[in-house]
Amino acid sequence: MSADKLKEQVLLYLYGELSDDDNLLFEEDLAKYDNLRTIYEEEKKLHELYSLRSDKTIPDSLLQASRSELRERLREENTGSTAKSRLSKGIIYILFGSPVKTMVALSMLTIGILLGKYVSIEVDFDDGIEVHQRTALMDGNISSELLGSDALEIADMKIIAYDADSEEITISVDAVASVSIRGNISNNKIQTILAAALQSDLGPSIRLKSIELLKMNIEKKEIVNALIQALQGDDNPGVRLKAVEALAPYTDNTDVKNALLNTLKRDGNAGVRIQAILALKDNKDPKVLEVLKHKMESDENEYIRHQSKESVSGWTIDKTGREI
Amino acid sequence: MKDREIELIHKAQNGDSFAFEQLVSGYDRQVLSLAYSIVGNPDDAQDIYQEALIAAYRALPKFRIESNFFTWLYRIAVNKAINFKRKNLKYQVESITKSGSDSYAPDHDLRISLSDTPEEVTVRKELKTIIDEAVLLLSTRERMAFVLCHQEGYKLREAAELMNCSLGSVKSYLFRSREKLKAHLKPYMEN
Repeated sequence: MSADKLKEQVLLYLYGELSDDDNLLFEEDLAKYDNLRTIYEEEKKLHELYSLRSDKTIPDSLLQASRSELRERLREENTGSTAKSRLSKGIIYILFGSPVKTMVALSMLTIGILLGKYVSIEVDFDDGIEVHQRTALMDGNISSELLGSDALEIADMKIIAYDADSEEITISVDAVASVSIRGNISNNKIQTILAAALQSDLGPSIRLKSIELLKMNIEKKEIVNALIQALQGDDNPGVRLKAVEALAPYTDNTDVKNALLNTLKRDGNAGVRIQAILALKDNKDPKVLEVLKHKMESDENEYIRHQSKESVSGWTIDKTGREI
Repeated sequence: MKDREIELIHKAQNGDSFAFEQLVSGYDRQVLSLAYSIVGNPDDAQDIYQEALIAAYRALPKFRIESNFFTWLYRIAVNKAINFKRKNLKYQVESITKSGSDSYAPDHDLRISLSDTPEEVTVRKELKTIIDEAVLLLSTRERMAFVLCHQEGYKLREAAELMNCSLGSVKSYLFRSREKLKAHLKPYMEN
């Protein structure tokens, strides 16, 4: 085999691109042939050297700034869309085409309402007003008794859609009101609020507390999804770490397992990755083995490489009865 | 795909930008991270992030629900990053051959461990900077293949799909990038 071909095999091995059979053959060859071993040692050293670049942690401030700018640009997108003219036509119709309905709509808006942040108000001109939560997991009607709180602040009203034929309008506002809710920890609505707080509260301590409370009743799919989303998207490594801990007993669930594998592969925080290894080490899925083997070779953190190696060793003994 | 994600996609397809923000919130860090890895500076990374996500928002009505949303979004980001770099290369990378950097042992363990001396940590930091600069000297596609396969841990097949090219091409880009990096780093390796 030519030197180029040997090198290609070495690189494919290092990147985990060989099949299991080819891997075995390669390792046998590696033990037998000095020239192959020389190439391998050199490429492996370079591989580790290049991995020094791997830690490209994005500062939270940069992500938040990007998200704010995106929000602005999305608003511009919406106002600049072709629906604009249709919308204008609709507004004119509201204002001048049907005074009674306009009065109803405007008076509803002035008392307008809601608890929590970011809500959407849908006004049905025949039946009065319905309010629906727009936050991640908080769908449902809010009764009219909850409307009109003095503590309520409404900002940033947007007309999302208006259909001139059916006279149906969808308006969104950012509304904030302070409300206390009392109930059992397993209550669906309490859990929904905790899950929403986990996904949107700006304070990491609140998000951490939410996880602690949610993990007492984690069997619900929505709760699992909220924890997975926190694991994948929360800026705070402490929150992600807690999310791994909470999800650890559920690695038989495919979504949970994939999320933890993704964390192990890509999370920038070594502590979170270590926790993911601990959560996954007893899962006997070949996908887990594949990632652990990769981590064993290439993770920048020595402890993680060691833990991965130990986990792989245990996995192989359990599965095939022999050590690798 | 999860029910919640499908619901958000439907809402976003109908012009609900808030739903779109929620939809991408689990993935946008990776988009920004990819952009940052490719361009190496936060300003350009932010530009790519905006371009990619706005393009995704505009294209969302054509998104097929049976596809994987993250892969679809990431593919847009990869293409934006490739095209952005091609159009807007506005800074030059200085020569990586710096004087006074002659103390790197070739068989040095480059991984950081708790027992590292401050001197070793400094050496690694400097090496990291040199590698960062060397990566920016690669062609855009070589850099993308390197970032996806080496840094992000994608398989060659997955990288080919994201970059919209053949498996063989990605393999060439990746292997070529390694050779170029090796050439750039040769003085340090020899020392």
